Amino acid sequence: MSTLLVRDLVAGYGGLDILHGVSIDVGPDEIVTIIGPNGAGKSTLLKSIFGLVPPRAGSVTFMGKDVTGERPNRLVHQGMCFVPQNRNVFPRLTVEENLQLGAYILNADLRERIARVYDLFPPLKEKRRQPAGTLSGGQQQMVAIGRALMLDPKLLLLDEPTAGLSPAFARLILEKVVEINAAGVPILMIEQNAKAALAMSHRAYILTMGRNRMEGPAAELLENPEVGRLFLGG
Amino acid sequence: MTEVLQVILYGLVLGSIIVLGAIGLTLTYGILNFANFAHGDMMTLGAYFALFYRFGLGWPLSLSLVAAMISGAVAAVLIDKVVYRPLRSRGSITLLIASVGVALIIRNLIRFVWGPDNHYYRRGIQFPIRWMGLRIKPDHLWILGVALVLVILVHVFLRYTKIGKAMRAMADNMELAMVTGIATERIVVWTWAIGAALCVAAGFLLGLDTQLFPDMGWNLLLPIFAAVILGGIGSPYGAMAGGLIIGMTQELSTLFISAAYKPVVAFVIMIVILLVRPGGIFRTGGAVKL
Repeated sequence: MSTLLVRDLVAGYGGLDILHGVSIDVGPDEIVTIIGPNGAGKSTLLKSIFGLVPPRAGSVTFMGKDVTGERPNRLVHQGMCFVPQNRNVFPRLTVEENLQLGAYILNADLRERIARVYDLFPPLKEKRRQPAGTLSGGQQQMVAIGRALMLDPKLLLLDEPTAGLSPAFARLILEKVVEINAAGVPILMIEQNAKAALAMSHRAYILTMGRNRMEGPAAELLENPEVGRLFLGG
Repeated sequence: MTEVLQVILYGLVLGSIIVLGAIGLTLTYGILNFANFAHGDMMTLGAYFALFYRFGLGWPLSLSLVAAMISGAVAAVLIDKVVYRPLRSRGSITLLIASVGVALIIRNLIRFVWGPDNHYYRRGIQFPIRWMGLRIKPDHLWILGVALVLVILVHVFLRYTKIGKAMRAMADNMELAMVTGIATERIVVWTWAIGAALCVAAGFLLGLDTQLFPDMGWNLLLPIFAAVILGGIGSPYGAMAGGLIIGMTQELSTLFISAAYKPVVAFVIMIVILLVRPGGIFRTGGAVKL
């Protein structure tokens, strides 16, 4: 059974549709990447899966249950967690408080979960009492991902996790994504660094103009000359 | 020197009152993203609630304060349900205008029920304590004490309780708070209740310091806004610092200019901050937006 099944999703803002019927699957244990040019509807797709942009048509099925247009806090309860691209930490709250809020819906002792995030991202441990807004971009991204991991998600949605990061930090974050996936969390992500993303993903979808353009095992897409020419910069 | 110390004492008293008013205003401003012009009149209403419990029911003053804080919290939650909540998706200007309407309704209701005249919590003259050349009214000690206790309670609440952390998170980044799964509407109710309870305490202390009259809270709204903007919108700790600074500056200004210009001092500070540091002096808060 697929963890996530999106069929013919139509969504947009105001009177304007951005997605014109997109379909994707994410299997258990998979890393699936969505690539495509700016304006292809990648962010809109994640947001409409997560209920931040209401879908106008099509369906979203999560763990066998229809969740089309379900509100974000209901999806969080079912184990879907989302890391937005921008403004993805609470800047005036400390690192540790950011993590605690990730598990806001749980009434449990969070120390063990927080310790696991610190194991994954050691730099956060020594900064745990600092306001998240004072950290570097890469470390803020660690806080954002760590926050989303606090609930042991059954699916993690990442919107451009390396946007604005230095190459070294970008590499580190992508390595961590692989590590998180290896621990059993399926991941659906958007990544503008398409080559690096394909190299670490199981499968990928290429979107253009709000429609599925190509899909397949990431390794095959990476070697496809047409993909290389059009989407990977030659 | 003694004169300066005396003025600093007055500054602390006024500052504590502004601080209590500013915490609630900054939280609703940051979380609901609108400037609540009815906040000053909620202060007044709270002061009159306490007057009712004190003389209408004959309760002791301290119990009257607690009862008034609870009543104010209930009133604020009801006003939110009836007025602001249905308008919440309409944008901050609509909410601002609605709050002006609420302010006028509250103020005139007070005039209607209690009349336009001054009222007092205590009758008779209080003799000041003399200490190191300073004249200290016992009520001033009460005001400082109550404000200190409430600020500490607010701090503990915001730092160590789940609801308090969620409140700060929502003031920081509303969209992320929703993504995180925080039940935002429930926290909004808590924000109104706590903001109003503190604002009622501010009104009560203001009445204790001087007297009660229908415009008392409205007159203090400007310095409270100045404190909120100074500390950065949505930042309760900024509001505490901002409130003390505004109260102190207003009183210290009387050493140089006529006391009639006190509100002008707050206004000038607010304008300067808006021009040079719209995010507040600590640059941690959200910038003013309408």
